[in-house]
Amino acid sequence: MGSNEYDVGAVSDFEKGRACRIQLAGKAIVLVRKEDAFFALRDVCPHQGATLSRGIVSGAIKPCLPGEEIVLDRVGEILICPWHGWEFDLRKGEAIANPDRGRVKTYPVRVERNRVVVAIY
Amino acid sequence: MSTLAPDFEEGTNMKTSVSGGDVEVDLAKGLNLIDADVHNYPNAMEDLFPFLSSRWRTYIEQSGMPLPGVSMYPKLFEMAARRDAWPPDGKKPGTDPGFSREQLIEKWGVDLAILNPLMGVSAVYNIDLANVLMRAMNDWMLAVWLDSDPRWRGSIVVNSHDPESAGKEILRLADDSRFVQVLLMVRSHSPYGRREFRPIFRAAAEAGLPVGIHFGGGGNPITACGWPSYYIEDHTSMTQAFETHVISLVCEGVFEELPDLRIVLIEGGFAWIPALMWRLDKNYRGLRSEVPWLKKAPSEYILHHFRATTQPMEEPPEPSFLSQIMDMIGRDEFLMFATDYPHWDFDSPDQSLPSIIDRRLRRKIMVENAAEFYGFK
Repeated sequence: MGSNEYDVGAVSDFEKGRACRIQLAGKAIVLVRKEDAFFALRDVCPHQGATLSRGIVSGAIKPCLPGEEIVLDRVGEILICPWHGWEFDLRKGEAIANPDRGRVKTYPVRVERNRVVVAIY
Repeated sequence: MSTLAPDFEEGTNMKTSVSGGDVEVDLAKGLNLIDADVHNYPNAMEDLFPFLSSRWRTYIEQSGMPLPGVSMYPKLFEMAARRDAWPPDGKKPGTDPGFSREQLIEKWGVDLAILNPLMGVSAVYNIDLANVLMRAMNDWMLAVWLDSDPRWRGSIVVNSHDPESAGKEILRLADDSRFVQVLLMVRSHSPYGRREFRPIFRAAAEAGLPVGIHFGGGGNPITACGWPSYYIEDHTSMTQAFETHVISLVCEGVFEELPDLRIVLIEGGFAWIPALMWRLDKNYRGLRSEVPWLKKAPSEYILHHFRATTQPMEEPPEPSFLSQIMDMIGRDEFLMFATDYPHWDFDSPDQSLPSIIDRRLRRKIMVENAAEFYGFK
């Protein structure tokens, strides 16, 4: 591991679809597991400062026309802020409805020999 | 009871000058943050049983009646609450005074917080039951919340379908200075300026209490064109109902009849207020003869008798637009900060007011205006 990489636990330590708060290098990080993939973001909402790890992991509604079936897509890849409901794309850190002004810093995560490793830059 | 704040009596300047006129007395000295809109609830109907007679406890138990709500739209957030506002004991948000104290008052350093229990008393059509629930809610507020911490202040819940009983309830509680206003829901069955509601406003004026008109309710569709489909429409359209009551209270001459009456618009936002004043003033010039009891332009009544809480703070693309709106309102005393805790559209005390608002005005909005208006020391 590099000097800026941190072993935060075994894959099985993290419940799927549940946001988890960890402290690394003095930074608060929200870690989310989707099956065997992991996402790490700064644990602060850029809107009014809520703790994102107190929110819920969900999906995003696919765009559709009025009257069409409404479909929940990308389940497990969206983190919803506990206060105002802003939806963050866990892969990009962008707020879906406000990508220019609502971006959360993301951190690379990899799984190595069944251990979860987060890189802090 | 509380008396009118100095600015209210004197017109446009809230600052009181003493000894030669060059010293300003800060009546909010020692206070840093007042939250003008916080919500508390019983966790279940049984919480009100200690404040109900055996007849009504039996009636409620036999009918299996739940706590009456105030709105029909699912809100995506259960109890319309922040997801982190559920107490650890499994009870509902806003039902545990200790948890609310910790998560709101202690966390943010709130000096005083005004509790507005959004209980659908006026949605109960059994008028006798509605009236006993009204009284039980206020007795519950006293015993469970106001006695628990000196930083809580309370609003008096009233049954708007029975203004005479509501007026008596206001006067029953008026001697307890921890009750600081009367609470009405904005989506009423009729505009509040209509004469049927006068007993509520007369009692409030007699008691020296402002009347808070709060977001929500369910007496009518939120739009004049019927029911919209979605909560996003309901939430955004709520300003229509606020506008209705402002226009009605002014045009029906309520403030000529009750010159000491004060109104707080709670959770309605405020960006719409300049446009309403301009439109109403313009119409007054040509339609004045229809409302001959008015002695001045409608905007003068609005600026003199009304205040608004800030939440949900409008978020324009440029923060400077918000500052311009405040300038257009034209009265630095008009806005009072509120969080709306524990609801999902909570405004954070340290981040919701744009940094472009200067320090002087920021302090007025965060603490001084409410201290003056409610007579807090």
